Amino acid sequence: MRPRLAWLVLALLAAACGDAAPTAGPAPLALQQVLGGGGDLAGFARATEPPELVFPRDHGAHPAFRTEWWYVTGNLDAEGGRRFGVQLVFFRQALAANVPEREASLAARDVILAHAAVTDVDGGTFHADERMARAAAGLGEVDGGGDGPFRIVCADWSATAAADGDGFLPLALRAASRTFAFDLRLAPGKPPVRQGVRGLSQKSDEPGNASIYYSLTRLPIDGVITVGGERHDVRGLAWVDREWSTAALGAGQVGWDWFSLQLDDGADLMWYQLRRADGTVDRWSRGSLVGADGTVTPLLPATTTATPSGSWTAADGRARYPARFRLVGTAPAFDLEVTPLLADQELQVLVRYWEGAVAVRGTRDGAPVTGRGYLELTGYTLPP
Amino acid sequence: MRLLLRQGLRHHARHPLQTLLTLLGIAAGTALLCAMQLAQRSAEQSFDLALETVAGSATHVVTGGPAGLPVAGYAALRARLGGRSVAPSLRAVVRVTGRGERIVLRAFGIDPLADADLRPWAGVAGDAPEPVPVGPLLTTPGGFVATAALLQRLGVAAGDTLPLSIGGRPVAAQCLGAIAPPPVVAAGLADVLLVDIATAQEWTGRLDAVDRLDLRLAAAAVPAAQAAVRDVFGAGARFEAAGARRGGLAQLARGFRINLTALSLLSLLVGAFLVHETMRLSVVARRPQFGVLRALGASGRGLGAAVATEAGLLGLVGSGLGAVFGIAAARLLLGPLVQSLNDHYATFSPHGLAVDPWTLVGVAVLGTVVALLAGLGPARAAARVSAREVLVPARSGERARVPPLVLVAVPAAIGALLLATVGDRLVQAYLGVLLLLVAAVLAVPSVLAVLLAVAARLTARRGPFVRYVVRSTAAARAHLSLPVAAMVLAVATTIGIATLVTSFRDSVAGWLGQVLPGDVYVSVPGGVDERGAAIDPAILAALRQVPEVTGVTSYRRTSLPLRGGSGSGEIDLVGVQATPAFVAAFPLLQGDDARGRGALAADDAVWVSEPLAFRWGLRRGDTLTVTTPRGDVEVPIAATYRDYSNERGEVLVGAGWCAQHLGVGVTALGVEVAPGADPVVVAQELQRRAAAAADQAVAVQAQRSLRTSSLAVFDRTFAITGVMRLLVLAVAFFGIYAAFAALQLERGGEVGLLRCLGARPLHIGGVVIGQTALLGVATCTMAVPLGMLLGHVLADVINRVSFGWTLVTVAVPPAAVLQACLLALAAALLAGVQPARRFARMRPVDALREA
Repeated sequence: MRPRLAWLVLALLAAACGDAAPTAGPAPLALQQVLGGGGDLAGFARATEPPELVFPRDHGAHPAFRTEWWYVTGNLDAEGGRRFGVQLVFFRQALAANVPEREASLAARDVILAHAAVTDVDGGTFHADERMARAAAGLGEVDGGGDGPFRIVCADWSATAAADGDGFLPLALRAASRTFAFDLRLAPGKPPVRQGVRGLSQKSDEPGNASIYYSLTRLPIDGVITVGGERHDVRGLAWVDREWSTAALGAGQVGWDWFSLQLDDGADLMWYQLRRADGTVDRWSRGSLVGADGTVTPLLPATTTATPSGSWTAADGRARYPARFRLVGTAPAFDLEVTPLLADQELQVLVRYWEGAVAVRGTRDGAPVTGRGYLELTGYTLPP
Repeated sequence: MRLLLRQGLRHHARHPLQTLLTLLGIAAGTALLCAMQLAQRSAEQSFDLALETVAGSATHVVTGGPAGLPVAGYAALRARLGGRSVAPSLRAVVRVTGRGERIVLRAFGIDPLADADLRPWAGVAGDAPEPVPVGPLLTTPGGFVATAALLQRLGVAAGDTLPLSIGGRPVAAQCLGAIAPPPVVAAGLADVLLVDIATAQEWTGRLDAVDRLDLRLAAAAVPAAQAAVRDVFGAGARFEAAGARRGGLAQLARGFRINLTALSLLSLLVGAFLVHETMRLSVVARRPQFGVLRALGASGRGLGAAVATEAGLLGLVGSGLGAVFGIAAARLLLGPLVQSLNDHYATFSPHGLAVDPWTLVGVAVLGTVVALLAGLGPARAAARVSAREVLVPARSGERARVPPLVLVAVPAAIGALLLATVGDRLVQAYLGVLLLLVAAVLAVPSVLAVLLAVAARLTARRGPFVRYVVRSTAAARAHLSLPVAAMVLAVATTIGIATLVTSFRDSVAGWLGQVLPGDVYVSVPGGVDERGAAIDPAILAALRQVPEVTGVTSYRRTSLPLRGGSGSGEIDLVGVQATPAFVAAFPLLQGDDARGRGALAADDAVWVSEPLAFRWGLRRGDTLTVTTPRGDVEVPIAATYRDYSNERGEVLVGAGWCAQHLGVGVTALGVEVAPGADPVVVAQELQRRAAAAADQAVAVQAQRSLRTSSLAVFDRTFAITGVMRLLVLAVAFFGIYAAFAALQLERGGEVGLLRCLGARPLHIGGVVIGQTALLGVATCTMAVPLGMLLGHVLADVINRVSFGWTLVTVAVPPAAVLQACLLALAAALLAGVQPARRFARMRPVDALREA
């Protein structure tokens, strides 16, 4: 999943934080720095067992773990037929496991980060921005997780659960930047799906290099998106990923290609393909297929392949991404062509990665199928 | 033309001493100007850099009152204005403890997570080679980073602890490593410990506050942001453009700058006079050659142009030398300049001298142009030389031209008028002084004639040589008027400045006694940036228990936005719980009556310092509006008082008023001790009790030592003026020496005649030295009264316009007068020595021929 992205972000943050060598080099390098024991992980909990997930408690923060995120992507249509993609993700990153009691109102142990992006498909433009705030004095905060509705804030951006909902949904998403803004509402849809082994998502060989991972794969979303000073009333489908961990990726893993696809036959497909430095696909790549009725079928690398073709190079020449993918599974059977709605959906924020809205066309169990989704590509920056 | 120039150069080569002195004169003048400009620019750059480092690329700044801004307001404003355009900071002055030397640094608390756009070098997105280690900085209490240079200076490395004290309280700091920001930022961080804002909160004890918010706003967003600031903070915050504060500082430094620039220009004037004199003499000496050249067909215009070009070349070479000397002198000036800015305006460190090539070019051009202008008169004289000159022996035949009285009276009258109506216009004040000086210079020929006539009468019955000395000097006064005028100007100026500084110092010394009527003073040590440095209440209670203490005046100093009269700005407000002795002794100006003196105790009116009253046009009975954290409060002015401590001005209010509108707290105490008790012994006792009462270091000083240290600050402030005064005197010394020596050199013929008439070499030496000594005495006779007048104008007008305060007494310091006169006389005598020896050695026939 986009976990990778998060790890990438956090790797760079860690590098900036000085608990790794002081370089913010190519993403894979930074990734290795943090995973190669650069950070002091002692004192943090590790994901070793399938969790006992309880909602709405587990929608809230898990401060015993170092890293956590709330990841929302959606494909939306305006009333006039104009298409949009939207992304809003909040990360919580603990800077240290144990910190002394402090008196200062701005003293903080955690940092909240956020990325937001809007793809204006028909306008042909992509907008992205980021926020960072310490978890102190209301600058950044995560509320909820049992007592009261969920709420996460990062500076001027927020996700706030309705007071009269289930503690998480409906969820109001608000973000604004110089070139875009959105005010959206996530409504209840398909129930949470535990990814991996009943929610324990192993990412590499070492025990404990794993996350707790669940998804809300199909939620109705509606609201207002503003781009270029124009307001658009929009509605569509969103996907929420929740994941927390202390360490995950292993040595030799340099990037990933992650798919979250919503098919028009009612099925939802998640696949993340971890890439190794030698160009092979890591054996810990995983996915799941959620049927229209909610049944979950795991996807394994032995039966699933994602083959890139073509390429798109960033304007400054510092990153080159695959232009499209063919995603093929044998059991269950599917053959899907995944094509970005815009070639340039690259975020140049604290880290550099590609995350964008895609169109899906192909077959599932032999029947023609179309769909929409999001694709995340990391580890594609070029050496300077 | 080339021929003419070559001939001119040969002339200067044959008179190396004269040429060298001319070059030195120009060099000294331009060097002074150049040094002044460079040192000042460097100091200002340090200022700017210090501000820039703090403000980053902010367009606007939000500041609070003395308590700062509440953190909740920061969060609210960041949520309203966008997460990338608001960054907080919190500053403190820290002292490194446990070292032999006194090391004062600034702690700069920032939020790296908010700084990506405003201070990219400090933000998480920073791409500096050694970025700010955000994680450890946020999670290590007392953790700091600094530039590698500062860490080396402090001798600490990552992991080391550094003992510090802030406002007298010890704090622990831990080094987390070095940062390598861009060079321009690194220069601004030369004395900065960069800390997380939470650490800064803990160090300053201001646990829920920030000092300021830097905003980065698009022009269109400014009105909304201003409204947001008002909504979030109410009246307790100020929203202003980032440049506005700098403007304030620039305004404050203005008086200082104009003062020093005027002194430099004066020295350049002396240099210009030297060029004039040299060129005039060279034209006189070369008249026969010019005559021959005219006979050979050279045009008068060509001769004039050649002489003017020579003057320009002298100026160019001299000011080139001046630029080189200037750089060296600027290094000397920078220290006192920065020190005096520090004492008065802010805490910052100089970052060495920045040599700006355009300043050098500008000064060189100015020096050349001035020399060219000074050479115009001699050039005109050269152009008028006719071919007939070959046949007629050279006489320096200009007639003594005495400017008519009206030429003296008009500038004097205008100057006096300007000074009388000066208001607060510093430039007008200087123009007035300039016109007075012009009048004085124009009066010099007449006065010199009178003085020499008096000298002739006094010596009428003396021997022939004495009479010859006086008469020959009087005969040559046409040439002498200009050099004497220039020297009168230089000597008078140094006397005037000395008068200003000495009177000022005497006034301050007397004033200190009035505003510090207590015997012992207790305060929290710290820099001007220090906030929240209140004395621990436990210490206050303990001090009141000391039996020898008979009365306590408590002070609470805060800085608040004020409006009144024609002005507004952030002004120090001092709440005073005064004893009767304090009230009775305080130096009130307006409102010195029972009502005025009783205002503080009654808590219904304020006292306003003279500089503030002057700058804002405030009088007794006017109203001030104070913006307190709880809103605007209007309060009438009951009195104005003399204050030399703060040229920005300050306001005294009663403690009751302060408690009602600002809350309680004491930042300093004045303690009166029982008659018979030794204040020094009581101070030691108070220090002991304070140390026992609370863990806060306070400074306890007997009034005597406080007075001494206050005067030391004063002396540091005027150290730069002292340096400048000596430099001007040095230029004047050169000038007198060069002018008088040159005058003697042109009199070879006369000397030859004397020798032929039977004068012995010793007599000749006596005549020459006697002439220069007579001129020296004449110079001093004119310079002393002019200097005294100038001193009064500087003290009563310039001082008031520059700083806003008046002096209690203006007295001319005899020592300075003596010093200036002795230097002038010594220069005059020395100027006679070399020609005297030369003439004495010369064969009479050669001397005659030289004529």
